[in-house]
Amino acid sequence: MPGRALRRIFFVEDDPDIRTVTRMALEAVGGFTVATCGSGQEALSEVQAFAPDLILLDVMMPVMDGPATLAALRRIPAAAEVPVVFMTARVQSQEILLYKELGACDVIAKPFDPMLLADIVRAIWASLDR
Amino acid sequence: MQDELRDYFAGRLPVRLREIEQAASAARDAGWAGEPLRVFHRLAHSLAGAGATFGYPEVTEVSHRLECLLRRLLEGAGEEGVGGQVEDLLAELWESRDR
Repeated sequence: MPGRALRRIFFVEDDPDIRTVTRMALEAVGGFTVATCGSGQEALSEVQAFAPDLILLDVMMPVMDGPATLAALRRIPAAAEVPVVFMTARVQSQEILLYKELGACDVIAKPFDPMLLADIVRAIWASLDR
Repeated sequence: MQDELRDYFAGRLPVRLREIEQAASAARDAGWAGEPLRVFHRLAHSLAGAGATFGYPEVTEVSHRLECLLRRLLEGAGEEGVGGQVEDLLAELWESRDR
């Protein structure tokens, strides 16, 4: 967890174009190392090998949505303590509260500006130290 | 990078719109219900998010209207002339990619 630099980000999202733009935004603009997955199930099998500092999770995914993926990730020792940020278009205050009750440390609103995403992620990471 | 993103998505849009049209056709065949409707709704939702992210706010605006219509159907609301509304929105989506 924080107290150290954010370097490795694991992004789970079913939309291939959003995976592409997010990877570009976080790698080219942010300078992070990024791994992406297209489903919750894929995330569960790949998270341990990547060893992320931070996980970004789409909320609305087929079969296993963001909250279900978060719950399953928490049962994997290597991912149990990794901060998770939900990414969703549903960002009314009561929805954000619910996501935080489910264990997300923060929420990023969709659609997002690719040029600003790395800064938003850095700000969230810094807030975890406070 | 913004021009690069717009160009990338311009190439992807026809593929995504054809995918949405196929989902619409399946949902229509299923009587605007069940899993085909859920798939159609999810594709409209995804396109709404992707449009603005890639610099196509008009695509997002039309997709969002489609998504709202489909959500009402998923929630069991009765809608008049669903097929016509969907066709109009799909036509608008094809036009919106050029704006």
